[in-house]
Amino acid sequence: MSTERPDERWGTRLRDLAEEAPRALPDPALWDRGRRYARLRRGGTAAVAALGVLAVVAVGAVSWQRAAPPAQLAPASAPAAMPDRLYDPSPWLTGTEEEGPLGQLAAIIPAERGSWTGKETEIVGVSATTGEYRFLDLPRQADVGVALSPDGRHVAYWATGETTESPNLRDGGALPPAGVAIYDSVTGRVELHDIATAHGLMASDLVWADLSTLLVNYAQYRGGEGDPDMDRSLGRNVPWQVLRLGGELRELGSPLDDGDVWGGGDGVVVMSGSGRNVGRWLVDPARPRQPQRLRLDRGSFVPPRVSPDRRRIAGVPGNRAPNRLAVADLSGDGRSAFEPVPGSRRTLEVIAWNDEEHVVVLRHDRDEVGMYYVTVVETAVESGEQRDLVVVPPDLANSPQFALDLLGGPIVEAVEPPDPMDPRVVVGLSGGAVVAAGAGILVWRRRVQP
Amino acid sequence: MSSPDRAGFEEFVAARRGALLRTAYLLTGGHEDAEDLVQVALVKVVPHWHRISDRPEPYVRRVLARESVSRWRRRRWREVGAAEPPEVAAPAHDLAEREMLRRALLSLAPRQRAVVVLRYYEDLTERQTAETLGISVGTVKSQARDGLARLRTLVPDQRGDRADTLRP
Repeated sequence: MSTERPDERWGTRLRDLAEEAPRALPDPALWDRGRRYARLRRGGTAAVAALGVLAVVAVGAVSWQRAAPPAQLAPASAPAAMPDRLYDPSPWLTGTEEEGPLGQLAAIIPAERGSWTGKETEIVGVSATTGEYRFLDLPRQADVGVALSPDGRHVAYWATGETTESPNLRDGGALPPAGVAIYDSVTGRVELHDIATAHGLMASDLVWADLSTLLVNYAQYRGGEGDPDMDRSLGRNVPWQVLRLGGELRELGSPLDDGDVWGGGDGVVVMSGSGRNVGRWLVDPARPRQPQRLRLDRGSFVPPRVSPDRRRIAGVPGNRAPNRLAVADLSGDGRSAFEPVPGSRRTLEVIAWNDEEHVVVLRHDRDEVGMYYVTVVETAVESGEQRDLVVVPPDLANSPQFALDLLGGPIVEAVEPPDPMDPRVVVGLSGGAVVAAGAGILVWRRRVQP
Repeated sequence: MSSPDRAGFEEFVAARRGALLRTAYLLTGGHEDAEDLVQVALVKVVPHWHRISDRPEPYVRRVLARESVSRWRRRRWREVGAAEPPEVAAPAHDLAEREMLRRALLSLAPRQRAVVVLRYYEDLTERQTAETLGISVGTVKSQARDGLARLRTLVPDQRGDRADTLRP
């Protein structure tokens, strides 16, 4: 029997076979060929790495270019003016916390703001001086309504805060409103007015009667977390409050304290009354106990606006919009009749009076492909002659709020805001370019042959 | 790279090229292919010589063995092997037996062939074989077992048997 183990036998057989191998011949060129191979390998590696760097730079360049502020921006010292159109803001615009306040605003627009984890609805301001768009970083902002002052210098909003008992949490666990805040768009300062509340405020209205007087309406939630659903969904009415800039929140003191505010203008508001005060009333917050009854021939209309001299009122009568614009004279003793304004059938809403003869309305228009959009239009109440002021893109509908005092002034060519890339896409593309370059280098170094 | 590196490399090649050719011949089954494989492996070693010059053998063997596997994948060489396993009563002539073993070796998959050559010709341990080829020890064991089993089928070991029968 063989004394070799099986594996040793195979080793012997293989060594025997290996004797047939070719004889070794000298090859002095091997070293030089090796050097050339090394250069080829390094060159390919450098080329792939350069391509990767180029791709990252290209992504960065595109991202920078899309995020760069427009070259046509006016300086901050330019006079305030209304732009002739609004744009749908990008979710990736910068904010005032990062870039500073915008100054006097021409408009504010509710818009989705992007983040690494998703999107939330916030407020974009449009500067009346530079034309820039920027998200307004409003401290403690509750996710309910905001109101832009007529001069565009202040934004009123509901602020979250402490409750004395269990809070009435909103969707997603957000805290309820517990106060009112006023943001100064020029200085960036915020006036915060906390309101004592057990469970939070059922926010209702924020209405600027003039550029320094804010009317506030809310109810107090009856219950918070852990309380019965009925209590959590109901509120206890609170009389209308008034807040003057730099002052304190206090009761308006109007006998119509449970009514709705139906627009107004130039220091007065139109309020509805109930019970023995049923009807429409003109209320001056400076003299709240002396409201003026409005004797109108129409019972229902889209919220009206009072002329600067308080002699006329404009609105869209009826329960539907768009409809015809109509104006009523308040100076007579009898019931005021609404007279239709010629050529105004597509009026959605009256938002301001520019002077005693011209109102500003939202008009319902349709573009060449049938998409509905809104145009802010100045209309002469006698002739119906119209002058387009601001075009609002379809996606924004009638959600923007305008600095009403600027609608009677110059209209300037709007500057399109930047459209920054989603930073997650930038990181993804850049990371992808780096990974691809790394993989390319690996493949090159493995595959390259001498 | 400096002249001492070049001199060291050329000295190594002069000393070890024959041994490398023998290994390469077992891995490729042909003279031209063996010479080509050794050349390519040595050229690929040059860029790394300054790191390995103190002990180049393991790295050179690694490049040689891995190149023998990867070049097959690139070129899909189809070595000529025996279509049928030989009859049990094989010819006793050494040349014929060598040829049968050569063809049987070529009938193995390139990585399996490399495992057999490294384990039983180069006498590497299972771990050393695994490190050389960049595979697990378990794979070395299974490839070696399967490789030898196929070789036994194709090229039965006659000498051991004859020695048994001849002994009184």
